[in-house]
Amino acid sequence: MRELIILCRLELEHMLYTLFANGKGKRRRNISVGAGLLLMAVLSLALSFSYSFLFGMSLQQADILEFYFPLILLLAVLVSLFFSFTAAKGIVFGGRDLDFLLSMPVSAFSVMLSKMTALYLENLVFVGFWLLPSAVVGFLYGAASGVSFWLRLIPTILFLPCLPTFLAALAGYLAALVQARSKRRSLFNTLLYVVFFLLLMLAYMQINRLGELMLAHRELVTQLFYSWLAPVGFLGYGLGSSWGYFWLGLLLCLLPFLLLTWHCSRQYQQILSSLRAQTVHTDFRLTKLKSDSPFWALFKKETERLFFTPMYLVNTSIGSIVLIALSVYLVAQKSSWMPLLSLLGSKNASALFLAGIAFLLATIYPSSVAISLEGKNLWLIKEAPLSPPMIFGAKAALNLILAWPVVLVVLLLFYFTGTLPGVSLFWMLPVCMGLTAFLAAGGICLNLRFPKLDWENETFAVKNSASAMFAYFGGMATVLFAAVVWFFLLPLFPFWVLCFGTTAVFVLLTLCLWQLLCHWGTEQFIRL
Amino acid sequence: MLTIRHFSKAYTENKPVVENLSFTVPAGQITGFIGHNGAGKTTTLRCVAGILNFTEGTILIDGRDIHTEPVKAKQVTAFLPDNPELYDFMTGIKYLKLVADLYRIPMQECSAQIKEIAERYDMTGVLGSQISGYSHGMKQKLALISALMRRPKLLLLDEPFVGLDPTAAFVTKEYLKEICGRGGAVLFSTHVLEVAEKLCDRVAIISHGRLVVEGPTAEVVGQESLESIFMEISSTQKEEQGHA
Repeated sequence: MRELIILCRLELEHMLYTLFANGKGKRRRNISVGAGLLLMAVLSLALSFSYSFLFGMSLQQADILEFYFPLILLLAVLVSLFFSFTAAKGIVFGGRDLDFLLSMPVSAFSVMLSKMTALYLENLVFVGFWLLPSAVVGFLYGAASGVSFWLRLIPTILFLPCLPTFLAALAGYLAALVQARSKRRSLFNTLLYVVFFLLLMLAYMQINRLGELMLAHRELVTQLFYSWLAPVGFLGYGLGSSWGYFWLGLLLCLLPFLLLTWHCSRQYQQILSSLRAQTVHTDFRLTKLKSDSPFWALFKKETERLFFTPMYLVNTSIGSIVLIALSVYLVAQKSSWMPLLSLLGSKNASALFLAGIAFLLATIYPSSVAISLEGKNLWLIKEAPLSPPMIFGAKAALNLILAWPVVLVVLLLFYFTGTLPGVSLFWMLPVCMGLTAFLAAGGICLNLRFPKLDWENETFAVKNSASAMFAYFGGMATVLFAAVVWFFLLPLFPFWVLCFGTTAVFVLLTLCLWQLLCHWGTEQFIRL
Repeated sequence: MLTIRHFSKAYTENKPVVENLSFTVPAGQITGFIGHNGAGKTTTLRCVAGILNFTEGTILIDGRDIHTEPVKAKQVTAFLPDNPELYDFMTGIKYLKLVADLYRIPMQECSAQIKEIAERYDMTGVLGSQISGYSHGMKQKLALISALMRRPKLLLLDEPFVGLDPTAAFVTKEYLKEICGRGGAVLFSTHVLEVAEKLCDRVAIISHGRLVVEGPTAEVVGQESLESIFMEISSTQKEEQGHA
């Protein structure tokens, strides 16, 4: 027990260390990181409030408020799973401290449990931000009442994160097992994450229809919450009324978590050994090689790192994947939403589409972690006879190769399926290109301002670093701001004028950021 | 080839890691850079290589200031850290190609160099495998190949013999002499004083960030051994620190 507490404390300190800088003179940076966390909190709370009101209202109107809390808990699990499943393998089976920990006289179960606790804490943050406003909304709508509801809420917030932790760790465990037996590890890992991600996206796309599905299939939904979705079902019903269901729900959240921890700990060393085993062939023959320019060589290196590091690819190119998946889905389901769109009018519909595409493009952020990911390899590019702007350019280009082809494909898809007018789609292209160029340059600036070079696992650089958080949520905030401006200007100007103006603004901002990178950025890079 | 003048470097405001260091590494000579742990050897080498920034002093490589002409200075320099962290996601040959491209070395010229050096280090067969599977010694050898294939004018090595097998250590020494033979210079740090004594034309001994002695090896060592000179310097420094 004592070792377990020590290990859990170690994981917590490590997580805080990766987020916040230590030592003197880092106060300003820590304040910035705190501001980033606050921004994330505000956006999460806003998202939670919106969904909660939406569901509360529709369930109250249909007189099926008993589904409110099970539904909200299910969403909490899916939202935190969305953010944590790619990190699970790195946190649980990665980490350069594993050699040290496993050589200590502590049980593998304790080591495993401490790693799972680190993952649990990440999920606790999301669940907490999701459930608090949802609980208030549910109470207001009458889905629950009395003081006992608030007493049950706190254990719910503490136990529910065990579910997404279990699911994320299970996915990480399966990925680690199969990867250990696969020759093409990186490619397999990438494909696995993309498939998991697309399945999650499919589940999210059905969430919006959940209200109508619940109305139409009340009995079936009730059955689901008593069977496959029993942990959230029992806990949800227990929150609203029954203590019996409440305790059962807590148990069903905790048990899978503990069982998986125990099972994985028994095979921990075997899995770790398999993951580390790499074959070095000795039959290579030197063939003719072709020269490349320094920029092209740098760019190729960056893309190779991006496509061969699944954690990096999946997390930073979420927007590209979702954009393609959503576009295909929308085109396939055209008949169900086109009538609604025609009510809005061509101009408003085009603006709405552009906002959606822009929002997803804002979640593409490889340039904001590209410098951090150099990590201990930074000496290689610093030693080389390269100007810092050339290095920045190669890294910024990552955003462009992930976004521009996807935007082109999506717009062409909408054009050839007659979804939107060709002229509107034509004007959307430069806006999207300008936005991604601006975010690419901005990402490099953020990474230079908040570098994270001392990571032990890519997860910490890609997900838990200040630059990643600022880029991800800051990008969304940028699009939100632009959307608000468009809301007021759209009635006054033609669509193409607003597109032209927005493109011009983004291009100007990009040029300004590039100038900043050439001077301030170069100094920062030299100081790294 | 390398001139360091009044170079100082501090990581925090209070204590400089290197203080007012001045010495030269002439062309055609191998200079050994010796000091206790934490003396400032790695910091100095990294500043010369352009990896770490510094605000006091001047570093000239082949007449070019590392501050004002960094690209030109780095073009003629090759640096090997003590624990070379390379791109794990690349194969050995891809890594060498990357370095060749970054230094604008034509592939035709480079391929011949890679072939010759890799064969001498017995690394040819493994160049097609991912670096993540390499042992420490193999990474060290790959980093050496990437440094030597550029035919640098100034070679900076931080503990180059750690992790190398005896054959590789012998080959490395041969290459260092070759670089000096064609007018280049080598500056390397080491804790293995016997190697420094046999291999180096000059030695520079640094202690607590300050240069204690510098000059031709024969003059510095005199009738004693480099080890006894080093031990003498260390104990003198300890006494001075104790009094202070």
